[in-house]
Amino acid sequence: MFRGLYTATSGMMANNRKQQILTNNLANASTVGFKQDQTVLRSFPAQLIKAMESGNGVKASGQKIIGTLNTGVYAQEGIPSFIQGALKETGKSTDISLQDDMLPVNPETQQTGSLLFAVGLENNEVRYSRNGQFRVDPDGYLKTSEGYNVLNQDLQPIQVNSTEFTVQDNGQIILRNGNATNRLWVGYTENPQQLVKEGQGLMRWAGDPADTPQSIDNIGFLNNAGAFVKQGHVEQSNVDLTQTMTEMLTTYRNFESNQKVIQAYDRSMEKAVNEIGRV
Amino acid sequence: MSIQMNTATTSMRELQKKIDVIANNISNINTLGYKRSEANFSDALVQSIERQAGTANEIGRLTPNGLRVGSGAIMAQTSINTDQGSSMQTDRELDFMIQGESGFFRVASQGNVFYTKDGSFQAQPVLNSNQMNLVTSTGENVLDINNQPISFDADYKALTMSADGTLAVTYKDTAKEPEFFQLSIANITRPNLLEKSGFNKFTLEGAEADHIANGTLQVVNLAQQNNGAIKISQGALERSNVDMTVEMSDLLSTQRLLQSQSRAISFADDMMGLVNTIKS
Repeated sequence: MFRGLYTATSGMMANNRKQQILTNNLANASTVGFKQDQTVLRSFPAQLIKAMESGNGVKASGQKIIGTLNTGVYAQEGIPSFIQGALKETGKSTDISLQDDMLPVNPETQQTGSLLFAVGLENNEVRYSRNGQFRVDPDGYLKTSEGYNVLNQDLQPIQVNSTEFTVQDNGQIILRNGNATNRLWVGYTENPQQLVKEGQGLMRWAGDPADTPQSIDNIGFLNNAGAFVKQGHVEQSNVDLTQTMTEMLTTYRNFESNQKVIQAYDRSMEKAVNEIGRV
Repeated sequence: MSIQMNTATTSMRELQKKIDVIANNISNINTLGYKRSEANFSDALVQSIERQAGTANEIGRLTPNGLRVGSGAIMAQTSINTDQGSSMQTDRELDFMIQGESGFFRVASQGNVFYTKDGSFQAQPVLNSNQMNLVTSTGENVLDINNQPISFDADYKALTMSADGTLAVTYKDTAKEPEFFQLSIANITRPNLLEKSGFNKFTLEGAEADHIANGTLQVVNLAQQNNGAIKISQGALERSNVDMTVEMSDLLSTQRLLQSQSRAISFADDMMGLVNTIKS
């Protein structure tokens, strides 16, 4: 009847979805290594609108084109923003952070990438993480706070025995007894958007398998420069509370506006049904 | 909207736990040998919405297909910060302090071994004998290197602790030979496994022998294998390592974050209200 009714409905639904993502950002404002999601709203595919009857009842091919019309909107994607979060000093040996802003620009692509830790699941699959708040388990292995293995240069678990170890700025782990066989696996990618969040600070590579994050050792232009790891610091969430709150307000009002449009359509329909044709 | 509500409610509940941890730290600011706890957060599981317009229509998208909505934050772990607390000079004969953050006194009660940093000990008479035991302020026996309580005759004159953990007991009766005891100190190398069990004591889950076998702790005889990292001083106590400034600023920021979660709930509520009044 009125196609705009469903356009306004889709507006409410999309804004609701956006609000959900903003609420999640807000909830993770104190989660170490969290990257905030930015919602992208996209319009429905455009439709070509033609006049139903143009001229003297000419059909089909002769219809007059009015233009295109998008009949709605939906929340298309949540893009994680990989901007570096602020570092916070904790002084604990098991708190390790990655510093993206120390990365040089790739001379070939003119892009700067992002760094990642590698985490091993129980089934030996590899996930990536930015949360460097680790701990040492009863068997002396370095684990994430959720209990997954932190992986070394060969993607193997790291046995550190005690919390008394030092991590150099290239990720080299030196134990108390001088053992330096382990190095933190630090990954590099220029397409962090291809990482899918799985919760618990874990991210799965969902992009082209050929482009999986590579160890910084294999990235030529970095030249083993490697001053990217900082021990005794954690990377705080990059959620900006003020910005998130403001966006939530706007989203709320957008939601409300769409509701008002629905009400306007409702009144139009009321008129159409009850008043047109009244004798 | 219920997703928003759940997200904000979960996070509120977990932030409340963090405030509980901070409150406990603040209330123990004057507890001897107290170690502050810290709450660490992680993001909760993510739900994925896959039914979208289809890849063909989504030219230019940056992320893999689907839309992932997180469901808030959860407290992943609380960790104990074992930093050394400041020392307090008391000059009391039975006050001892361990210098070195990995060292803990081993004390026993009813066969269970506990670890403590609180060195304000007492000499407690043993029933039906003329012996005294060295006990903690809550009555657990302080263990010597042979896992025995430290017992000496009641007519002692002085107790002298040397830095290597040797306790010398001299008697009023000069004819009596002085006695020597060697304190056993636990060197705990994986302090995040410690659990607080109240009354300034820590425990390790499971048998102590297993923990010694897999390297969580070593029982150290300071007189023998001393690399100088752990020392004992007499007449001093270790204070709590809680820093009021840190706790208060943590409390403030957590409170504000909690407040913003409740704002998120009222947003969701208002949005549901709008839905209900579409047909006004």
